[in-house]
Amino acid sequence: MRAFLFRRFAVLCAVALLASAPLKSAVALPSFAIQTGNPCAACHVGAYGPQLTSFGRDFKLYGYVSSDKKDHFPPISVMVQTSYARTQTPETSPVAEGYRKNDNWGINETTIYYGGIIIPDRVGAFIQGTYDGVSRTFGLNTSDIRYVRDGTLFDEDMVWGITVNNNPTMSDIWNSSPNWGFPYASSPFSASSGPGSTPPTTLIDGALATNVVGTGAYLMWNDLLYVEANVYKQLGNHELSILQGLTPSLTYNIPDAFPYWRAALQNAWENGKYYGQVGTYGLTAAANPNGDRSTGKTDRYTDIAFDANFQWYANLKNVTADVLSAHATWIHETQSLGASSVLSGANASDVLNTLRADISYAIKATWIPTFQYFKVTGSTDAQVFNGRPNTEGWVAELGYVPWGKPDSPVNWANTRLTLQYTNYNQFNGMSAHASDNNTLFFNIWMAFGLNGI
Amino acid sequence: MTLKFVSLTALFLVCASGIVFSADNAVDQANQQFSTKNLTVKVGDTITFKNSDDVTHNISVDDADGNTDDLGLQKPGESLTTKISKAGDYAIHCHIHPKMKMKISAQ
Repeated sequence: MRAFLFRRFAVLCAVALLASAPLKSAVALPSFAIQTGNPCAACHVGAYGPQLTSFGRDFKLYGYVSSDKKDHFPPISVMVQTSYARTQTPETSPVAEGYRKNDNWGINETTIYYGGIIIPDRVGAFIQGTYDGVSRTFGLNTSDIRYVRDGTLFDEDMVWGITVNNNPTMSDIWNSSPNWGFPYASSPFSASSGPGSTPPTTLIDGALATNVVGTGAYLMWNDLLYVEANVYKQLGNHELSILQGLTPSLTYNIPDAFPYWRAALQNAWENGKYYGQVGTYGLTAAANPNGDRSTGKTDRYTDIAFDANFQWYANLKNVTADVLSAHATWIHETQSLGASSVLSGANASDVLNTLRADISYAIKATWIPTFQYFKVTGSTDAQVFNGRPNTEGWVAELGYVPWGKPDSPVNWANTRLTLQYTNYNQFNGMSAHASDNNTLFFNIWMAFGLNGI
Repeated sequence: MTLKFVSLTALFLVCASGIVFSADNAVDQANQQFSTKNLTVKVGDTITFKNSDDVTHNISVDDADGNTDDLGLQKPGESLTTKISKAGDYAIHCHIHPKMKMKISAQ
């Protein structure tokens, strides 16, 4: 047992030493498939993910420790992403040295994961270290370590756990919240402004990924009610420079610890053939704009979100049977700009709302068409939003996953091809030239489980 | 003749009583669930777990004293049989699918 734990700890340390800029990257890990003896399609809609099936949600809920009890090599996986992107109008300048204003190809991401058991039946982890091929930096990506126990509460089954992670909603088990929501991959060549850029986002929608660390507890009671509460603290510049491999440039400088909450109700009907969930999540944090504390005031951001999920399984006995999935989330952010209103003449308060709703149909866990509608609305503020943030459009995507199924030739490798088109009807308050940001994106995502070779 | 008849009858009754006391109970695993959450059996009964899913299961039988009988990996389509040898309550669960649980009460 000691040798087992030492081996796992040594591997964990090796993975954790890698650091990167925050990237949205989390999918089916072959190491999970090898650990459980089940194919990727058992946990993931479309056999690749990160979209989770009911079993996939349970696997995460129970701490990534479910296993076939065989003695496997430590659960290490490697993923490589190669991407191509073209915007309707070329960007004003290349996103990074070595890239062009448009039609960029690149191995944009190579990630090593520790995904699975640390202590059998008790502690598991999803830890990723990523080399970003655009910024050319190594860093710790969004990660989650859990301690889990189960039992009964009020005579009903319950499972509870403690999570340590580095992004609000990283610990979530639903694909409606920001860390895990669609699109699961997008252009890594986005500009910071002008054609090819992205609309404003709320604080909870990725801005804090990997620059905070937090811990908290969660509970799922009677397979019905889920509650979670975490506290996060932003890392200092020294820690961030080590973990991200570059000098941090934070939009939000948050000096104090801040809370995150999550609650949800879920239910399944007809033995799990139909699944539904509704919930809420949010956070509140006070920030010094660009680290400036000269006013003695802060900007407070309060995000309150609601979400819903639905799934229909054609045949629960067959993990490659068709699955219909739908997710929706609405994030409402109030910004009390006590500091920014003094420093830059911003409004005393603003609001920013984000709506995303998507539907996908996984055909035999191989072809996965998805459509998403998105809309951003907010206050008119020349300093904060350079006008109005209002943006509206849709995303259409086709995914292809040849493996990850019970009859696949190997269980230690998988791949996903994605063809995606993002269309803007309105962008940052403007309808004219919104289509300049329309983006065609193609991605090849390969995964290898070293514990299965 | 009478003695032989009585002896044969006694032998038949003993064999027949053995058949009545030992039964096989079938539990299906489908949709990553057990077909029943609670089962009452008699000591000496067997329970046959069939895997009707297309994924592997791994069942353990835990008795009230904390002893665990790991029945091992069970591939799709396979059946495993275990015998309940003493009275008491048993907790059955799958190591791979944590919500797959059931209870057996043996009398």
